[in-house]
Amino acid sequence: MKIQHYIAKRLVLVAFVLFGISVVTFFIARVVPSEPAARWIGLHATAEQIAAARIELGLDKPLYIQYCVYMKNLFQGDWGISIVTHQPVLKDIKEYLPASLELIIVGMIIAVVIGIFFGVLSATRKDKSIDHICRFISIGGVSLPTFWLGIMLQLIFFREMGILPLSGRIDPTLMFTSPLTKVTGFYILDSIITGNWAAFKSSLVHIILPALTLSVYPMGLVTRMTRSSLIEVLNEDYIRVAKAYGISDRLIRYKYALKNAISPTITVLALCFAYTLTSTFLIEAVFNWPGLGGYTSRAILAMDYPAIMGVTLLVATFYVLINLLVDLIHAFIDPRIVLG
Amino acid sequence: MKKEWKWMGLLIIAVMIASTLSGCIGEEKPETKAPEKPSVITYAYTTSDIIVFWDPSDTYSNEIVAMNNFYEQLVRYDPVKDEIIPVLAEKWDVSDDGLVWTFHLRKGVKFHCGDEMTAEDVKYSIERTMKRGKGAAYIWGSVKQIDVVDKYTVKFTLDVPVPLDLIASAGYCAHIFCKECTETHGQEKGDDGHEWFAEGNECGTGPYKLESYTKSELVMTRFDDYWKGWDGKHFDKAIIKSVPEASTARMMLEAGEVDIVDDLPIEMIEAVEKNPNIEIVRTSSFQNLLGFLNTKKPPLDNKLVRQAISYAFPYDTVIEHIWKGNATQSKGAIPKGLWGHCDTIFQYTHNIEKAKELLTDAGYPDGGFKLTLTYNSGDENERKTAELFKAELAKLGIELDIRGMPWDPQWSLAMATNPEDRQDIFVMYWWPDYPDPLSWLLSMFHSEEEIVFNLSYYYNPEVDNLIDEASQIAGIDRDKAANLYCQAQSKLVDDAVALFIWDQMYLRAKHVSLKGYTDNPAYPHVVFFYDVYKEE
Repeated sequence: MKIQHYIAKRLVLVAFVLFGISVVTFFIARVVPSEPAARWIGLHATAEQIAAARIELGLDKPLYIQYCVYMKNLFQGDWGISIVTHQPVLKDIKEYLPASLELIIVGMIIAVVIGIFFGVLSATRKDKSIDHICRFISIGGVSLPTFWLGIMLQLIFFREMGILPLSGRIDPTLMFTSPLTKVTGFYILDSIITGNWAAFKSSLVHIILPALTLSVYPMGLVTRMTRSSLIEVLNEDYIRVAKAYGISDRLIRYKYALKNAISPTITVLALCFAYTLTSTFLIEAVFNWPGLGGYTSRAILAMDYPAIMGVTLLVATFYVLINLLVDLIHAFIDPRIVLG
Repeated sequence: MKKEWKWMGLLIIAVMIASTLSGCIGEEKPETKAPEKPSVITYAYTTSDIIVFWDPSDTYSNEIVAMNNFYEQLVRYDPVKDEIIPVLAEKWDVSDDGLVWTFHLRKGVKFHCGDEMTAEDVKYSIERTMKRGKGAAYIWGSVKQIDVVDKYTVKFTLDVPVPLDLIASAGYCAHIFCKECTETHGQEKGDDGHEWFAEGNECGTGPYKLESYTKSELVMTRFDDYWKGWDGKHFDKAIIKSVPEASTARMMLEAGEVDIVDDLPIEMIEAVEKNPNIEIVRTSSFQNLLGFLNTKKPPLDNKLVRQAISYAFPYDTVIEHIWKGNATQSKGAIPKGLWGHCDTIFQYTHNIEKAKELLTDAGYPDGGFKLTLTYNSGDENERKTAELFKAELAKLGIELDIRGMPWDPQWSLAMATNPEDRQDIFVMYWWPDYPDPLSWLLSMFHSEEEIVFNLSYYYNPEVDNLIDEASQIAGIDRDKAANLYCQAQSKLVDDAVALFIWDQMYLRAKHVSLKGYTDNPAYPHVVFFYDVYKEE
């Protein structure tokens, strides 16, 4: 079927999925025993204050009415007020999301570049010592606790060697000497756009350690997946034919073989991307990175249901859209695949 | 084969160059138009939310640090000297019956918006706080009327002689803000000014005003027209950084990136103290830890059993093991250093034989029952305390079921309609909104119709009367009130209503170059930036 029809059909399914998720999340979050009115007001509140807060938050109405009110507001752009931060949830998300995205994108780029390189290396020198070294690195990557790795990197590169900064997105003294005007929320991009060289250097240098820590897991994943699917492809007949024709090894590897081997890796990467949106809270804690992971974990601990709903719907949307994108990419790469 | 390595090598070299560049090239350009770097104090606040409530009438949370630098109260409390210090009020007098308080205000005090502070602003601020009824607003509950006598004189008429000077010194909900600003912005938005505050604005008389705010950092800059003036050494700017991760805060402190950290785990405190650039400031706080015993659920409904487990609690071990000695065992409900604390009250000590005796008297010679203890999950100190207690109770044949729960479910459980469903022991911290024992006794040990914080469910009219009587005269005769509070506490201790565990100490790690800092427990975690300065 035509690509527009396919996309339209998929988007309708997206709506269904999001609706289902919203219902499940809402009711689970509300069924767990908690006292959001008390959290809203402050810890030493009196009984009257809590009762008043309950009415203010609309908690005295039946659950399904609360759900309908929430969804109605959602479509009008009001995602509710966070019980913990007392700010509109959408505003909170807008503040935290670019930081998370920037970190994930840089981390993923590192993971993909190094991962594919190691994967190809391992596949072409299968069972030689370089293969074993790569296996060691990649399994280490998926097994090492990110929290620990982050602190180790801080100790080595900040405390002992003093060449990389400890935490944060940018050097705080820059706000006095060369303040960065935020356009997109991506500091590296914004500093390029506004021509702020000091801010560019600083934000680039600050993102290295957290992005490295984040990249280690997907890097391991990519290495192993690339290796195994490439090994399979390299045994195919058409590769042998290409070699017989005298086509260079490098061309075979990166153009012909990799293109066929890359599909499963892309799928896994896409899921990884959506997952890291909130799973980075340990890295964010260690590096003081103001991202979505920390916000979400605090929301969950405080049963901050508007924030929980907001983030869940956001991440769910990311997942389904990325899945759609991945399917389209697969169709693009491999002409054998017919959509629909 | 070699070509991949070449690309890899180039990539690595590029990254190395980038990081070296950032280090080296930093200062190469002659700074012709670089602004002079202001003197800055940076405070690492180990929380993720520097400001929860922007509205000065609603404050009740972490913003206490920022608010007490943006705003000021009529007076401030000094617990060391047990003195009330005049701030926005120069002097005040009380009528003989304690029902009329007259405050004489300081003249020529400016708000950040430029207006002068007058009696109208004081009346407006307190009335608005009372009307909104949020946060700690209840502290003004006894105020019947506020009158503007003249431009610099305010009269408070009370219906109960409460200690209004102590109330007016509170760290929350006692700040004076600009009537003009608030009303004007309120009119624009069609409310009482709340939305304007909530957007991230302030209008106080304090030495620092807001420069910028993000979730990770709050920057304040000096208010040039501050009434105390800027002679002497003061910081130009103050930054509060949100650093939820303790190990990061510690490294920042050691690297000199921050000057002071509000809270580090005890192991880090010990490690960091060895650093010659760091010193630890230890202060007795007004915060204590209590374990409420469910007096309505067997077997703790039996006084002998409660006394027994009070003897079973390992007070010294807990303080030594968890705090390395940096805490004191509680005596009664009121922490050491606050008036109303009684040195003469009985204190349970760790004595397993005595505990066994009492249990036998109560009919449980070999224990044989189970108790459920709830504490705030994530709080390592509470968890370790519970574990140590469990080991002791096991010696008596009592099984302790420890449950860490987030605050909301823990509190909800305590309010369960069926008393049998509730916990047996509720572990919780308490600290006062203003320096008065009433905060503990009224909130936690007075009879209440609906369960709020009396989590022992202890309803004793004798104790109620003592508390009520004391609260009536605290404003006129503080010593007599203290005496009555003592008597009430004696009864509580004798009835073993709760486990009075420890009085906490605040341990602040700071750089040695930061001078002039004293920790005032009446304002927990607040650094009064105006009072500190740097000396290398």
